Amino acid sequence: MNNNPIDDASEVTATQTAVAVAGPARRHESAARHAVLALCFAIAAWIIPGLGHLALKRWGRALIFFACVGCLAITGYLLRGNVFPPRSSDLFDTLGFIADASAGIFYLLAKFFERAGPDVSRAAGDYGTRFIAAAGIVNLLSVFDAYEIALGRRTM
Amino acid sequence: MIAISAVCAMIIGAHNPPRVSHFFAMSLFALLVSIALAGLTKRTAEERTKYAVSCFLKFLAVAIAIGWLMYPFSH
Repeated sequence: MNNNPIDDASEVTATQTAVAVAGPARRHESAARHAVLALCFAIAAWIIPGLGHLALKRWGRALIFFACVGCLAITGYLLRGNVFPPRSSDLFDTLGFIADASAGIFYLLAKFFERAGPDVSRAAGDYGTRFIAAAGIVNLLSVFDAYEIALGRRTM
Repeated sequence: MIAISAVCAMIIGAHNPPRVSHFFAMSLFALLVSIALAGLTKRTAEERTKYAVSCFLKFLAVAIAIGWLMYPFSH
């Protein structure tokens, strides 16, 4: 046991110095880990609407987003709305693709529900296009919400 | 709801788009978006219900108002 007060004081100072040096580095590492985790929740929320919230134990929101995005997308497919392909030369088509692809797994289900392809010659098809795009935009909002919750910026 | 939609799609065969009126399509769109926005912005079930109903009615009111504003151009 060390009874020398001078040595004790030097140990405390060394510990404090070590903490002071390691503190910001550890905090930085923890923040980086937190950001990566939040990104994982956001990706989960994008792939399956509501999954990010489900992982964050926000059951209500998860259910609402899954049901709303699913209903919007499937209704859009039933109305034979236009599903924008990944490659296009037109900027508006690219924006349409970004909106559609934001619906995650429901974008991949387009071919299952829309076997006959889009038909925008009728008003119903035009409505369908809006429904599909809205599904993607709603899911995009849910992705940002899950990301913010995971980062702790949103408490509600 | 999704299961019902899926069953409907299989029954219809996705060849014939269901005949829906403009008002029904617009109302359905307004309802689903209102519920999503309520879920996003409010916390309790009561707050969400109130917000969703209010948002849905505002959607309808604005759409009908714009419809009437455009009415003279259709003639």
